[in-house]
Amino acid sequence: MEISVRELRTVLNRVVSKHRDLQTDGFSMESCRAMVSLMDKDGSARLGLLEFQILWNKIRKWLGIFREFDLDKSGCMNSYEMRLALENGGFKLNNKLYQMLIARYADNEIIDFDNFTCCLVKLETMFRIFQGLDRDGTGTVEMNLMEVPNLVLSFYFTAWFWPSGLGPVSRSHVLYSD
Amino acid sequence: MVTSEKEEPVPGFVDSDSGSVSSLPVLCGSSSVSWFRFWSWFPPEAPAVCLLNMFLTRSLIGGIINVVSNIDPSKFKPSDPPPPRRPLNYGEAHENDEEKQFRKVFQQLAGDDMEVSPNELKDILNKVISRHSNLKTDGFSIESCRSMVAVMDSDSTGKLGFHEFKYLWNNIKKWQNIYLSHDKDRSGTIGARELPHAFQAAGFPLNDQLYKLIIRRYSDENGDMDFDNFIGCLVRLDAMCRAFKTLDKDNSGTIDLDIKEWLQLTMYS
Repeated sequence: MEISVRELRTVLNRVVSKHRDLQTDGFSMESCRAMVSLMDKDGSARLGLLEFQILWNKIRKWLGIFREFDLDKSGCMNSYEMRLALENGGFKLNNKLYQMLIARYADNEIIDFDNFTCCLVKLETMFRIFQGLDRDGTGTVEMNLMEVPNLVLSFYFTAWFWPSGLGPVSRSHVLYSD
Repeated sequence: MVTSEKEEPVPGFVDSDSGSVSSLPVLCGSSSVSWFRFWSWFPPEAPAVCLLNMFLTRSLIGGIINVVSNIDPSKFKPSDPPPPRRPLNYGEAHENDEEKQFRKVFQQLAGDDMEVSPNELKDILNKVISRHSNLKTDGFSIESCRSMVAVMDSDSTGKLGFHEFKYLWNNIKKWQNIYLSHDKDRSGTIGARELPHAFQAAGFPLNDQLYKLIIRRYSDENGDMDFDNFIGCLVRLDAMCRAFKTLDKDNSGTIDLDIKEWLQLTMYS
């Protein structure tokens, strides 16, 4: 019993449509692919029951954060609310990164729920890949030019490129400088 | 085994009951006929060789052509970095006629905020490609345009200023030329066999395994890559390679990244 990217999308869109307080134009195939990719251990592009359950709990947690930091109850995040939400979601970044994320995921400086979720999925993926590569905890990873295409594909094929597994899910991802 | 999931970027409202999608209203700027004459990259049905010659003689400033010759397989050749930012006055005072025309059209496209948003980019790209029947495509998606804006958007405004836009536009033109000249069977798409040559011509000689994965990600079930996916892939690849090269100060081909640099490099895709 496995769920495909397309099926995940259907389920997610059905669920969020029931939450009238959330602004969203629907989850895209790309976001759902990134979600499956993050959870997918065997590279099958499908989620087994356990993987799906873990993902679902994540999304519920993010939904809670989204609601908590949607201070003006607009159904979406502005850049100030987004910063707070990211920090509370366990991602303590720096100004430049917050700005980049908002530029990337916002539509006219507003981030709706599906984009919020997509942002968190990708952030978590990238943090965990980094931690997985930095096994001895030096705080840096070495990268070769030939590995750049892997990065371009990484949200699609996470398990494929990083077969030694992603780093553990720590409770928070903190940038210690800046 | 990884199943091949067909990618269909679908912007719009998903009707939760029927699952049908209605598209977002398209923001149409005014489009006069002269726009298209200027914007049209090549006469739609011109033969490939002729197109190549035309492009070589008509490149805009800022676009550098990568001529395919003795590419060292171990080295990528992303596009040159954008020219240094100059004060607006300088730029305008030193433009030739073609650039002045381009700037006028940009102003029309960008609207009041003088920057091109992902939606505006999507509109102009889709308008232009609709006139080129030799480019098969289901249209540029909003996600893809957001990604393209993001990788070009050096000041993180979420939109493209004039130079950022011009730079992107020149790259797209360059890659369109490669697409056309490598579509040997005139299918309007780049097939699995045509892809390696096309990517090499674009300055990205990869290996078989990577081509396979790229095809899985960007091509349809027949292994054919349409135009918007071709461009989307190259924009990301080019931007990441350029970012890498900027960080690789001693040009060793290897860089050390801390988490900040890692996130900056990866979060755009």
